[in-house]
Amino acid sequence: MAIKPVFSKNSSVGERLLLLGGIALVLILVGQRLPFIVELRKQSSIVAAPFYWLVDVPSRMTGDLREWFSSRNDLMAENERLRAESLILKAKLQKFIELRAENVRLRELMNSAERITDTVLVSEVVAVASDPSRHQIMVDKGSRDGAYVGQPVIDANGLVGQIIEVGKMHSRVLMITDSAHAVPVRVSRNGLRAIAEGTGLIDELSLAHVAATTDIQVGDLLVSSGLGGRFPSGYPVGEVSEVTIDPGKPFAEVKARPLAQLDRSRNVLLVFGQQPDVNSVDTHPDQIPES
Amino acid sequence: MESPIHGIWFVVVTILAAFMLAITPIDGVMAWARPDWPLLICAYWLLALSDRFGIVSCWVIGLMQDILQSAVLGQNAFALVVIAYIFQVSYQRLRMFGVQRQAALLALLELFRILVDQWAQNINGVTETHWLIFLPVVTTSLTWLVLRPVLQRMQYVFGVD
Repeated sequence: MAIKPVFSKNSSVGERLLLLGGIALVLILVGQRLPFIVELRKQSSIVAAPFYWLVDVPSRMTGDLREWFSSRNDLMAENERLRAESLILKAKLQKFIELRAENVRLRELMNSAERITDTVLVSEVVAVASDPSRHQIMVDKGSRDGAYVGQPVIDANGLVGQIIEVGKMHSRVLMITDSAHAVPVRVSRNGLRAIAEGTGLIDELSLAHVAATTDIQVGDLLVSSGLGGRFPSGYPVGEVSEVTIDPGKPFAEVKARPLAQLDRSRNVLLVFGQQPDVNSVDTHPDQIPES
Repeated sequence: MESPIHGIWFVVVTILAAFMLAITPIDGVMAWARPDWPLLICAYWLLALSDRFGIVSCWVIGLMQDILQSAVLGQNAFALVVIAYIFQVSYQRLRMFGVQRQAALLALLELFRILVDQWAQNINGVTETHWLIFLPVVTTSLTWLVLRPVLQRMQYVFGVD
């Protein structure tokens, strides 16, 4: 007796519903826990890449056109501005070099290890999650460029987030404001430790379990503390924007504004120089960059 | 399957366009109001080519959408398969509906899709939600009022059958 093919003309609509709907349901229920599916998911970014590329074409083209048609005066003005900015930055850098040398000396005096400067890789944001409640972006660097799961991502102003999925040429970045994200921080003024949790709003972080008697003020700078082992220490994360102390509650309600331009940055930096977290089981040895 | 579908390229183009519209970055409130393009396109072809475009096609489209939107794998596939089933068993009746009644039906189906999405994301650890997630119910059904005549015209011009 011949086996009835599953998708023959004769197989009824109901059978197909049960089969395909069943597969989809199983995927929903256990898909994120099966290593096989997770691996497949990583590979699937190859299929998605052309779509992201195509969707990005209009914005790339307007950028190119604007450059093409910008007048000589505009370019000269921009050149001037950049020159001035570079001068100011260089002046600041001189001071910074001196400070760094001093820092190393002092650290040597204290017998603590010298901090290694992190190397970075510039990458471009190619897509943002279409669901506004999920704060994720796609960047155009993947395992080919040495990106790894758990890698910190920053922009010119502060911490952006971390990589949660690495494809061959693209990676997915979970931003610090996503409601599923939290980052250990300290207040740079007094070293107070806290956890900055994402709230699902692009311009707000909330600090968990800050005692009502703590010394924390509006305007305090929050920098990553490096305690979780995932983010390197010392990158600016946010600025305290609101402190509400309700005598009836054990903890103060502290809100902070992320410093990175999460909804505007076009370029972000992937930070190397830190070994990936030991407990991130999904990191492959071949993706660990040489620091 | 016996005779090749005439103008299949147009079907493929509309599906690709739906994917692109589904992932184009939008700013601010408009991001919440984005109509559910894959559902609209699937609904149209489910009605127009009910003997060729069915559950299997919708399942593949749903999986592709999951990958593109980095959603929980299977959530769009599941919702679209169920919707395709509804269309497959009652397409004769649904074709007879006026465009307004179809739009109302699509609002219900979109609501179903949003609830499936929320459920799938919830059991996979994404919990934060906002009432604005229901905005596509309105926009999807309004878009249908415009999209159906346009697609019908184009289907006629390109001779898809």
